[in-house]
Amino acid sequence: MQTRLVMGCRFKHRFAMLALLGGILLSFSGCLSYQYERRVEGVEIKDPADAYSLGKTTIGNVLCSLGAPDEVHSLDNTDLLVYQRSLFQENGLSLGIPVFDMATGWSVKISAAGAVTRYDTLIFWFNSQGTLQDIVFEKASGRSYLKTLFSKQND
Amino acid sequence: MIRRYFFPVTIGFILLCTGCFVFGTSKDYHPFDPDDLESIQPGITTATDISGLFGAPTSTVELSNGNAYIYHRSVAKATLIWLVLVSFANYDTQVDQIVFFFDKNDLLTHYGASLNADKAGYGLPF
Repeated sequence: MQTRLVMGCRFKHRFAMLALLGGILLSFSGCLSYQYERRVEGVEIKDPADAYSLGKTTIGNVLCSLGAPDEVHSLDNTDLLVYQRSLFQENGLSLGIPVFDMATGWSVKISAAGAVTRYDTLIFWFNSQGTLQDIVFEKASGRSYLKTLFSKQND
Repeated sequence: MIRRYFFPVTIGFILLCTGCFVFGTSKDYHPFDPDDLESIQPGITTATDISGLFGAPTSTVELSNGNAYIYHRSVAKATLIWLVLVSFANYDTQVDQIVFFFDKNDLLTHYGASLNADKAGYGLPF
């Protein structure tokens, strides 16, 4: 008789714990959440370093080593080959209590999100004879996400 | 002690990991065959030959000393994970791109091909 009573008590205790846990999870599901999103477009672009020489390298040399550019443009008498990779990252944190919203009719929700797109870009300028005039490389994806997010636009 | 907390902790962990996984693919399709590049010869192949082999270009650019025909297609793969408290999304987009450069007489001078669409993959965003 006493054993049965103890077992019943344990069962009740477990059931109460589960109900409490379920209640907490249900009331918090969708209210405290963290989101992380990452989008990558294009293949990695490596630093060209001294692989190309101004006045010597031709369009053919660049196409042979890097393949097709992502963009081709013409400016006055120069042609641009643009190689680019983009990296988008977004972090979000939101806090709200839907159960509270249902019970009282007004809602409390706080959310914060930050998104950054960084570009790795390699641009070649060629003159009308197809000889390299200038080259620019920038690897922005190497910069810290938080530093980029909180830096001033002109930093 | 361990017995006492094992059950609720396990149930709690399972509930926290309850969620859904989504895998998706999106294609920006253009029906060109990269094998046709083998029959192309700079100085001989013309813009008309290229159009005949690869179809209409995705875009064209007027250059200082001719034109460029751009053929483009892409594959994007998405992996989404929704759990109770956290959600993650990862999108990977890769392209197949071929660019043909022609002189003012529409003769092919150079071409470049980047065939990376097959490299798009599913995965976690970390």
